[in-house]
Amino acid sequence: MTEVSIMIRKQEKKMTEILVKKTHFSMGEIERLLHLYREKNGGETDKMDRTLFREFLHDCFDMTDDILMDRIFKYFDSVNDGCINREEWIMGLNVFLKGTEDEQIDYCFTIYDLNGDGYISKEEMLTMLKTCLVRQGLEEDGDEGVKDLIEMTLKKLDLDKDGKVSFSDFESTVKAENLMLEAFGPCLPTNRTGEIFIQNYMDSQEG
Amino acid sequence: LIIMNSVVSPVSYSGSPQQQEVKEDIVSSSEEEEEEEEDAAADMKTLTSGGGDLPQEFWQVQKLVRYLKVGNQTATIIALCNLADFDLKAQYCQVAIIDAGGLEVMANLLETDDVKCKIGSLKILKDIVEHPDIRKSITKMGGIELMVQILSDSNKKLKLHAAESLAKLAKYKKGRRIVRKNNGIPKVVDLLDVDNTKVENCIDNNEVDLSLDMQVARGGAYALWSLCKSKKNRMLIKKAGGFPLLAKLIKSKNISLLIPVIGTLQECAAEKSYCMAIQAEGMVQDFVSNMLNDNIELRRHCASAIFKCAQEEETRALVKSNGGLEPLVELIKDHSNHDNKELMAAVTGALWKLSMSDDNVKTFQELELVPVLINLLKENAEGLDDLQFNLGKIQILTNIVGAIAESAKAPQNRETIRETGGLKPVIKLIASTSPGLLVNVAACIGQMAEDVETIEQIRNLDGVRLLWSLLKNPNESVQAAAAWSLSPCIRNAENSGDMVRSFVGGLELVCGLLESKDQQVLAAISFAIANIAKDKENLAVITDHGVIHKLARLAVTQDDLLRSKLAEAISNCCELETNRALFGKAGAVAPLVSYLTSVDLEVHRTTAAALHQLSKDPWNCVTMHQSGVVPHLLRLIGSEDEAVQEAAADCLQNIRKLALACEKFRYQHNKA
Repeated sequence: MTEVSIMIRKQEKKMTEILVKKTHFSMGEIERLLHLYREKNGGETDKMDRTLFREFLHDCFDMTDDILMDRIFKYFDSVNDGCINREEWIMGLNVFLKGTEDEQIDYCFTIYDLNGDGYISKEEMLTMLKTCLVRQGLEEDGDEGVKDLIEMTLKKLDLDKDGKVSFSDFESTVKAENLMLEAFGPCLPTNRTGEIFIQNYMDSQEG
Repeated sequence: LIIMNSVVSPVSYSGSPQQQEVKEDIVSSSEEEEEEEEDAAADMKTLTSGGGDLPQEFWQVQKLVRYLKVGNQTATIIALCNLADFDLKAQYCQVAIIDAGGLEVMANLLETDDVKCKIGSLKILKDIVEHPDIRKSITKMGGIELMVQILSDSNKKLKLHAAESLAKLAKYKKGRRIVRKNNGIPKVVDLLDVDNTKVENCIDNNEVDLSLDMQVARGGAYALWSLCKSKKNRMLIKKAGGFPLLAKLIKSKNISLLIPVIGTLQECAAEKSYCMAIQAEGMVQDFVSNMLNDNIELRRHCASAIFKCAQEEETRALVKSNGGLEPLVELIKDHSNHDNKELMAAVTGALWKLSMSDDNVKTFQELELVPVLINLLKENAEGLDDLQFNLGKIQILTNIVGAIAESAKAPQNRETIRETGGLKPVIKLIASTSPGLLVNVAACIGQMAEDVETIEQIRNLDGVRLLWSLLKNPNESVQAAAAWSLSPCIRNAENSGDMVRSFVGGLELVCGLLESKDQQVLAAISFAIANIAKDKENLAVITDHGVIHKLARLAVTQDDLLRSKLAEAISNCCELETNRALFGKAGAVAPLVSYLTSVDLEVHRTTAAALHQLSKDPWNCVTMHQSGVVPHLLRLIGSEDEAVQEAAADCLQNIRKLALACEKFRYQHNKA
C-alpha cells in the first residue's frame, strides 16, 4: 500500500466512527459500502461524478429515469460540488436504503421538488410525468391524459388548496396512503433490488 | 342460522337420553348456496334507467381505468390511488369499472412482480368484489388463484391485502372451493402465526391499530372465517394446525381481532372435533369472559360458540363454573336486545343447550329464566303467517321452545310455565312447518304432560289432538318426537281410553307407523302402544288393526331402545288372552329370548315382563324353552329389581308347570 492509501484508510476509519453515530448502519456495513464506493469509483479518488453515480443507480437498482436520477445525484451531493464524496455517499445511502418513513418522505419530496422552492408545482409534475401514459398516437394534444391525471393527483395531494403541494401536504397524504410515497416516479430501491443489494454488498460475506 | 336441532326424548325411562339430529330437508347454513342471492345486479341500463345523467364520478372512474391500461408503473400507482378515493362500494363505481374493462387490468396487475401495483390493485378489488358480476368475473379470470399465490410472498402488506380480498371472495362456495383446491388453506392458516408477546401486547384501543403482524393475523382470521363455512375446509384448517393458532389469538384483548377469531371458532364448532378441542384447551373460559364485553357483535359470537359447544356435557359444566350462565340470562332480559334477531338466536340457543344439564336448570331457576322465556315466546310468536318464511324468527322460536322443554324437566318450572300461560303459545306453534321447531314443541308438551294437572290444560287447548296429528308429518324426527310425547299424555290423562278413542283414525295411524323405517319412530310408537294397550277397548281396536303381527315383525331388532319398548308393548298387549298365542304364531317369542343377552337393564325389565305374559300360553312356553330361556331366567331371578325377579320367577314357574304337565301326561300315557 502506498502512503497515500494508508492515510486514506486512517481517514476512513475515523469517518466511519463518526458516521456510525449519524446513520442506521453498523460499522461493518459502512466499511463494506466504502469498499463498494472505491470499486465503483474505479480508483482512489474521493470524488464520484454524476456519470459514475448514474451508472451505479442503473446497475444496482434498475433505474432509468434521467430526471429522477439527476435529482438523486443532487440529493446525495449535499455540498453541491458536482461530486459525491465518501461522506455524502454513506449519508445518502443511509436514507436511500434504510430510511425511516419520515426520512423517506423527506427524501422523496426533495427529489420531486425540482427547483427546490419547497413546493411541487403542476409544471414540475408535468415534467416528471410527461411520458407516463403511452401515446395513443391519434391525440392532438398528446399531454391531455397526463394533464388530467395530474389534475386529479394534485387534488388528492393539495390539502391546503393552494394549487401546489407543500411538504406538509405531501407528508400527510403519504402517511395516509403509503403507496403515494413515490408518486412521481421511482426514486427508491424496490423491495427486491434493495434486498439483493444489501445481500451482495452490505452483508458480511462470511457464511 | 344455526344448524343443530336435537330431540331430547322427554319421557323418563331408564335408557340413555337420546340426542338426535333432526333430519332437516333444508341444508345447514354452513353449506348454504349463496349463489342465488342476486337480485339483478345494477348494470349500465339500470343506472341510466332513472332518466338522470350518470354522476360526474362515473366518468372520472372510467378515465382512471383508461390510464391504468395505458400507463407505466408510476401512472398505474397514481391511478390506483386516485381510484381508491372513490366510493368503491357504490354501484355506479363498480359498474363504471366493469364497463371500462377495468377488471382484466386489475387481475393482470396481480400477476406482475411489482409489489406496489399488486397492493394497489388488491385494495380496490377488496371493495368491488362485493358486486356479484365482479366477483364472478374475477373468479373466472383466475383472480383467486393469484391471490392464493400472493399469500406465499414475504411482504406482509401484500399478504394482508390478499387475505382481506380472499375473505370477501371466499364468502361464496365456488371461491372457497378454489382456495381449497389451490392449497390455500395452509397458507391462510400461516398468517395467524404470530409471536406470543405480540398477542399479549396488543391493546384494546380502537384508535391505535394493531401492529402489522397482528393486522396480517386479523386479515387471515377474516379469511378463515369465510373459508370455514365449508365442512371440508374446517377439517383442513384443523389439519393445517389452525386450531392452536386460534387458541393463541383468542387470548388477545383487541376486539377487532377477537371478532373474526371467535367468529371462526363458532363456525367451526359445528364439528365435534372442534368442540372437544375447545373444551380441552380451556377456551370455554375465553368465550365466557368475552361475553361480558360491551361490543354486541362479540357477545353474539361468544353466545353462538357456546350454543354449539354446549352439546358436550363437560362444556355445559364449564360454562357454569366460569360464570357464563348469568351474562346469558342478562342478555336475554335486556329488552333493547330483543330487536337484534341474530343475537337473540345465539343467546336463546345457548340457553337451550345449557339447560340440558340439571345443574344449570337449577341456576336458571334461581335467575328466574322461565318467565322471561315465556314472554319472549309470546313476543316472537306473533303474526303466525310470516312464520313460515321468516327463518330467523323460526330459529329463535325453536331455541326458546327447546329451552322451555329442557327447563320443564324440573317440576317447579312446569308449575311456572302453567301459571304464566306458557302452554298456549307453545301449542299454537304446532301449526308451523319447521321440523326443528315442531320437534321441540312436541318435546315441550310431552315434558309438561308429566304433571297430571297440566294434562287437562293441554287437552283444553286441544294439545293432545294436535300432537297426535303430528304423527302425520312427513319428517321422521317430528313423528318420533310426537310419539314420545304422546305416551305421558296417554298415561296421565283422565279417561285416557275415551280420549284416545275420540281421535278419529288415531289408532289406525299409530299402528300404521309400525311400518316406518326409522328406529326412533319405531321405539316411540311401540312405547305409545304400550300405553294405549292399558285400555281394554283400545287394545281390542289395535288388535283389529293388526298390531300383533306388526309388533312381532319388529322383534328381531338388535337395537336396545326399540327392544325395551317393543317388549313393553308386547307385554301390555298380552292382557288380551288371545294375543298371547297370536304373538307366538307370529314368531315373536324366540327373538324376545335373545333380548336377555343384552346388557341393558331396561331391556331385561320389560322383556322379563313380556315373557311372563307370553308364558301363560303353553305353546309359547315350549318355544321359550327350546330357545334356551331357562338359564337367562335363572339369572334374572337374582336381579336387584324386584319386578324383574317376580316376572322371571313367574315365567319360570309357568314353564315348569308345563313341563310337569307333560311329564304327567307321558307317565299316564305310558301307564295306559
